[in-house]
Amino acid sequence: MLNTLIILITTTLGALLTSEISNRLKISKVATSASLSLVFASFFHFFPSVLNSDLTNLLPAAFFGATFTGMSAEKVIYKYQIILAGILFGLIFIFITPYFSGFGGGLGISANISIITTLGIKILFERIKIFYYRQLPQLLKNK
Amino acid sequence: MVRKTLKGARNANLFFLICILCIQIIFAGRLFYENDRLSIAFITSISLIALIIVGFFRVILHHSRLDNPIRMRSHDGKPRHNLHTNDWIYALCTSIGAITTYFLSVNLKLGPILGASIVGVIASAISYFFRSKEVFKQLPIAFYCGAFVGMSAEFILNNIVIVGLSGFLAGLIFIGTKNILIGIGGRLGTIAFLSVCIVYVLIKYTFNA
Repeated sequence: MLNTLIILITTTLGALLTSEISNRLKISKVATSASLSLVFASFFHFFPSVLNSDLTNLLPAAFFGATFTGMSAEKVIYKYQIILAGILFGLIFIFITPYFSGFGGGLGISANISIITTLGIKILFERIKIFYYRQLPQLLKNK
Repeated sequence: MVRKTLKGARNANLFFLICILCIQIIFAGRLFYENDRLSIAFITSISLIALIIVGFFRVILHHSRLDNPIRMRSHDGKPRHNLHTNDWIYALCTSIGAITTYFLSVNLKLGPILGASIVGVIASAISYFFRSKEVFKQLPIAFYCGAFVGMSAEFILNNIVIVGLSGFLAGLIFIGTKNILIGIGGRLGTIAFLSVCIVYVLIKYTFNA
């Protein structure tokens, strides 16, 4: 349970950091993603005994994958939707990615799925809002 | 001004979009095979797949250029085709990125994440110094895509030549998907996953290596 929470926090942080740094400081997305994950992964490479062995193997991968989520353009996903995308990526990373361990782009496709799922949730909320506002005059009349 | 739609480019873009949708549905539906029906994993898989399909409508409508390929400056005013003359460089760079990452992660035993991030940092640094030229703007992206291919473990792709070939295939898919999934992160990883899957299936079921 605690491991799950730590992984979710890491993925959210990774997505947020990458998107903010690349958008505010106008650094290219590949450079931010690669440098942030290099710092994070080298920390766990040189100090492997800080956390237990499961987390030492999983956290760099989770952070690396979360940086792909943050590599999206600003017009596609705003800041608060990135948080949802990061949490979704963390859940996908915990439950689905282990079945595809060893495949090269497993983290990237998980990130892609998390962002497209966030876009799908966004569309659903917009449709619900449109439906609600269309029904609102009738609801007010009936009162 | 009349815009000519290029049917070949539109069909190619739609083909790659459908490929990516299929591989994502296969990825998200993996939980079906392991657990019982009506469990949480089953419901999660179904809802994920449904949301992916819903999200793809936004991808197709807003984040793809199905009919309007990237226009490079043309001297005669006619629209360029989907492919450009410099695209073969990107395919070469993905295979170089794949081979370098595989070497760093397996032979030097640094692990896949350190290998891929080192390749990404070096590629970004090189392209920063040559940033005035047009080709070098997309180059770190191509190297990064190849780095994801090279992150594969030894039991999936056991030979460095196969890694290079699968990186080249990823480069070809990268060129083909230039106009789709624009601005959506993880596109490079999806391309890498697709190429690694194709090569793995080819090797395992045809050549029995």
